Amino acid sequence: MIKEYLENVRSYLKDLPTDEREELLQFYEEQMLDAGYSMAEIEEKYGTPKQFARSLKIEYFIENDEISDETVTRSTRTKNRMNLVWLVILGLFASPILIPVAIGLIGILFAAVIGFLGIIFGIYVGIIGVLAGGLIAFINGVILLWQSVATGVFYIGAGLLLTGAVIFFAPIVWRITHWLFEVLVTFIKWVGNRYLSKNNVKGAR
Amino acid sequence: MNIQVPTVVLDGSVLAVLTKEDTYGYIITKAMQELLGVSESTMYPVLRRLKRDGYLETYDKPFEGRNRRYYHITDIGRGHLQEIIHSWASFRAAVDSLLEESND
Repeated sequence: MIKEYLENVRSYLKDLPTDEREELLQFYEEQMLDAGYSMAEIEEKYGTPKQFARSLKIEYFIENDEISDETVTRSTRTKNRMNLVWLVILGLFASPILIPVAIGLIGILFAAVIGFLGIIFGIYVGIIGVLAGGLIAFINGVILLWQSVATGVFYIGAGLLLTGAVIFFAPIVWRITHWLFEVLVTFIKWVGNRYLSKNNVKGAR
Repeated sequence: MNIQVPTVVLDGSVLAVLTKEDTYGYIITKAMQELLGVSESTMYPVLRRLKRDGYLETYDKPFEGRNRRYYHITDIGRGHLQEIIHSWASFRAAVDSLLEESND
C-alpha cells in the first residue's frame, strides 16, 4: 500500500532530477515505514500523492533557487523559476487554505504575472519600434540626401539618434526587467513557503 | 508560545545526535520532533544541506528487506558542530542577560 502510494508520488515527480527524486522518496519511505503509519495516517499527514508531490516540488524548487550555485546555468534557473511560479499558482487553486485568502492571493498573483508580462511586452515592443523607426529614418535620410541635403541629413541624424538611444537604454531596460522578475519570484517563494510548503519550521514547545 | 527554531540550531542538533553514533532518518526526525517540535519535512532539507556541505555522509544498511539510510558525521562536520556550540553559547548568554533584566 505504501509502495503504491509512493509509486504514485514518484509519477508526479518526473520533472525532478532522478537522484534528487529517489533520495526524497527513500527518505519519506523510511519515515513512513519506521513510524509504522497506516495508509489513513499517511493521507492525513501528507495528503493525496498529488498534493504531497506538489509540496515536495515547491520545496525543492524554492530550496534550489536559494542555493543557485554556479553549476546551474542561467536558463535552467529561469526555467526552474517559471516552474515554481506555475506550481505555486496551481497549488493555490488546489490548496486547503482559507478560501478568501486563496482567492485573494490568486488574484494578486494573477495581476502580478499579467502585469509583469504586460510591462515586458510593452518595453520590448517599444524598443523594437524605436529601433525600426531609427533604421527607417536613417535609410530614408540616405535616399532623401539626393533630393535635399538638409532633409537627408536631418533624417540620418534622427535615425542615428534613435538607434543610439536604444543601444544606450537597452541594458537599463534589461536590468529593470530582471529586477521585476526577481521581485515576482521572491513574492512567489514567500507565498509557497507560507501557504503551500509543509516545511514550515514549527516552533519549539 | 512558540519560538521559531533557527536553522543553525537544527544543524547543530542533528550533528550533535550523530556524534554519539551513526543512525537513520527516523531516529533523527523523531528526536527533533519530540524535543523541538519540528516535522520531518523540515528535517529533510536540513539533512540534504548538511550532506551537500560535507558535514555528514550516508550509507545504506539492509533492514527487513529494505534499506535504511544511515547518517555519519564527518570530521569537518565535527568542526562545524564546535563552531555552532560556541556561537550558540554566546547567543544564549546574550539573550539570557537581556531577558533577566526584567526580573531585577
